[in-house]
Amino acid sequence: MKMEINTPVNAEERHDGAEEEKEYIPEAFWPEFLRSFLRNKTAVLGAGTVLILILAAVFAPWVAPHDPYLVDLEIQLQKPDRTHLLGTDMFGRDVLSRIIYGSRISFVIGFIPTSISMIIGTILGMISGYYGKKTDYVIMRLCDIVMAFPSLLLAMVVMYTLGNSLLNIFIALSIVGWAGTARVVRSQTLALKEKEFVEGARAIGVRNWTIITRHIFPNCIPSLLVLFTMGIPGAILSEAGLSFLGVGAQPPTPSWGLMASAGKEFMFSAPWIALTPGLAILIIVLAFNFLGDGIRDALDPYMKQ
Amino acid sequence: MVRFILKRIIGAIPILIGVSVVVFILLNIVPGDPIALMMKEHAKPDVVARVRAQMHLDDPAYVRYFRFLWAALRGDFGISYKMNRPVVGLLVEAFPNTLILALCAAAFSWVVGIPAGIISVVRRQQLPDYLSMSFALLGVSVPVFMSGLLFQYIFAMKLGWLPVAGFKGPQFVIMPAIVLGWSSAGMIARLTRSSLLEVMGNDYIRTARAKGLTEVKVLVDHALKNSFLPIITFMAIQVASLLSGAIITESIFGIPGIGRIAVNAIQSRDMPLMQGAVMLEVLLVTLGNLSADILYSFLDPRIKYS
Repeated sequence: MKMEINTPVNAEERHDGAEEEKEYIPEAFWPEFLRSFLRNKTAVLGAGTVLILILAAVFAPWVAPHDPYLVDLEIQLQKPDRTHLLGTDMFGRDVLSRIIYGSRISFVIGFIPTSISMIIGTILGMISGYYGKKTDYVIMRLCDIVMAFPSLLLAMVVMYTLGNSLLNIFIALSIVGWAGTARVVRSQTLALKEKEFVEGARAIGVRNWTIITRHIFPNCIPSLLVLFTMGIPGAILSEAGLSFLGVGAQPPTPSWGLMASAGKEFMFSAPWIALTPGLAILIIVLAFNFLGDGIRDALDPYMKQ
Repeated sequence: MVRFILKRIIGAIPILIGVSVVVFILLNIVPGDPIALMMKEHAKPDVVARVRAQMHLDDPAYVRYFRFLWAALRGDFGISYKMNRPVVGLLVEAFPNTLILALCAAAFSWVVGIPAGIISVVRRQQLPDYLSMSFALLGVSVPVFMSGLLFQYIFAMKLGWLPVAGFKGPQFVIMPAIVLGWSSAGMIARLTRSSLLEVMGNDYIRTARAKGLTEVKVLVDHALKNSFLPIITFMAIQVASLLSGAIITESIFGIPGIGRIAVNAIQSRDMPLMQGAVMLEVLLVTLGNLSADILYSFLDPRIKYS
């Protein structure tokens, strides 16, 4: 396996022939990855669930049986029945429709802040590992500072500054999440820096930034992929937690955490209001965890560099 | 050894200072006048001016930062806007509650997580393995408020075994500690499993088996000790994740701890209280990391003390 990784093949470059740089990741990477991923049943189950949920979120107006914001005080706190599959809440809104619309928020929160923090973490991690010395020291101390906070608390401090809104959760979670990525990327960069192909590139005078983007970064992609899928459930749980505490999304947004928080007053008379959004989070997080475990296992040979 | 410990402690100081700068900047650039919060709209202008001067609100930010730092070093975090009491007093009252909750949750996570991991290695690919790994996966996936509300519904409302909320005796700790510790227990179980499996593949394990030792003896005497390092590393991260989870757990179960204080401070925009609560939690996380580092170096002599 190791041999294969080192073969300098990259279809794109071969075609334009402009550069003769060695790539660490072989052509067979994606097909091979896909094959071993598809062999893993739980991973496929997770991927399938995520796909179905994404489709439901995208086509929410067609999938949802009712208007998630429609208040109807005639049908408050109704038990689940045929017209309202998961019952209604204290304003007579259809819980299932609110959960379907709420999945949009959870997906956006899962993908966007995770991507932003991954980008920040990757850039800082590569710079830190590649340049070393003072740059490394400063960036790593910044990491230490961020990681000295319980993550939810740091997000709360940022929310205190920016005010409660869904958009600000994006910023808060991006600020909280980058440090872990930066550490992983830094240690990978440190290892890659010593490899022959990087030394070779440096010897023929390739610029530092080109080395980082063309030689170091592509080799971090496998672990970044794992970090990304593993980061999504964390972000979803954080948003739900913040909104549950009242420092996140504001009513009447159908955020799952907010729905659970509003529903907890009615735990005795109408437990479905608080518990069904929690169950929805559990399902989405489990699906992403299955997916992440599967991706990690499928990439395993590439990660042991 | 002493030098190593000292070095680690000194190394933590710049981080704590950095944290204090970050917290101070974040909490002090907030729009909104604290005076207006304290005295409402109908305060007389001269009173407002006097209080502003008393609180040094007109000084430049860096002067205020150093004043805050100097006071904080002497254990003074100012007076809560909302409660009108010293922040330190409020924190000292709340701290034991959070500590008890977090310690019980940590104990739960070790007592359940480590055996669950061991069992799943001993009975690999069998029912006990699947059961304990499902328990672990559920633990890391379930939102704390979901398990909290569900437990309240089942064990307090339906079965009446435990009190719904509050913090007035041992029976009040059980539910929140399990709810909070479950995700850590799950992580520990998964970590124990993977770490043990890795150790079990080593040559000296084969030698131990070849000597005719029973599987249990091989596991306990040879494998377990060497698989504990990653688990101890996890215990350092655990402080931070337990404190994060405690914020939500305390809010569900009505426990008057630091998490509750932080949530209330945000909602009432009580800056000194927020500042104090955050600094205390960061100090706890830093102490956790420090003790993990030291413990780690005791257990693994390969780590150099330099």
